[in-house]
Amino acid sequence: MPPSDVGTGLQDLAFFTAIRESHYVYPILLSTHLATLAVIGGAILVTNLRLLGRAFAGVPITVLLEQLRPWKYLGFAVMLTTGGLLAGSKASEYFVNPYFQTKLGVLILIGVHGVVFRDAVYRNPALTEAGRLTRVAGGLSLVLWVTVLSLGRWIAYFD
Amino acid sequence: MHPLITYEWLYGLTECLHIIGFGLAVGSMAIVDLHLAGWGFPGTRPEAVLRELRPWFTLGVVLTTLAGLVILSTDAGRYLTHPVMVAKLVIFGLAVAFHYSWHTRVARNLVPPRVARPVAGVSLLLWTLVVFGGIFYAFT
Repeated sequence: MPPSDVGTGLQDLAFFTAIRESHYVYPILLSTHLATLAVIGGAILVTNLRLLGRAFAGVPITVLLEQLRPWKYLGFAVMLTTGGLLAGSKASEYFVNPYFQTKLGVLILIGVHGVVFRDAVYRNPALTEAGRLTRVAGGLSLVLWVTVLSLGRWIAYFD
Repeated sequence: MHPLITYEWLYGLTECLHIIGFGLAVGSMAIVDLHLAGWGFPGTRPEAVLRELRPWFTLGVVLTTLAGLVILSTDAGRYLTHPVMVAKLVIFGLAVAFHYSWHTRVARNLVPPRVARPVAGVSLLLWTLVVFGGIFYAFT
């Protein structure tokens, strides 16, 4: 079955139809998606600046990572929920949209990034100062997240 | 013809810069506010957080404002007469003014939570309203 058919089947579910046809639910979900971007974006910005050695030099990296982690998880959960509802309600358009597909691909890369640097950086209890490895991790993370954000905006330009 | 209308990719690029700038500005303030409210950041002082993030906030505000003005210039008449957009711009002005006044003052002085929490709440609320205004403008 081609992705456009899967999309049509999905968005025709009563639940997603209700979201799509409601006057307010779609923009509320989209606004929440973007407002949460700020929280998760702020946490990621702070993390990456610290990993790059550009800010919070007085705070050990492990402490900063520990403090920001719950906010990242919370933000990511809200992003996934609102994003999933938005995409599901217009699935036939989203699934065939190359920017949406690329965005999902880059999100998977972000997951891979987290796994690759997990032991050495993100869950390394001995890590206190920025070094070459943390700079690579922080720089890559920044590039990946800015790409996701830009692709999200670009989804609206495909027709 | 406005160049952003002629070149659609330029319009998209400007919108990306607008959102990156907003992410920097609101994101950095969200972190300051969460510190101020005392939620989940033991041991780090809001004043130190503000000092580190202030340049990124200012950069974000400048970037999002410049990109926003460019977008606005494509159809200034429609933007400036639309009530949701006018409300968004007013609230944005209030949020920036609030930050450079009470918000900064409260973050710099170690005030008790009963003062810091409402200030953090007002800041978060203002920024959230700006975001909702931007989206609802497109939907109304």
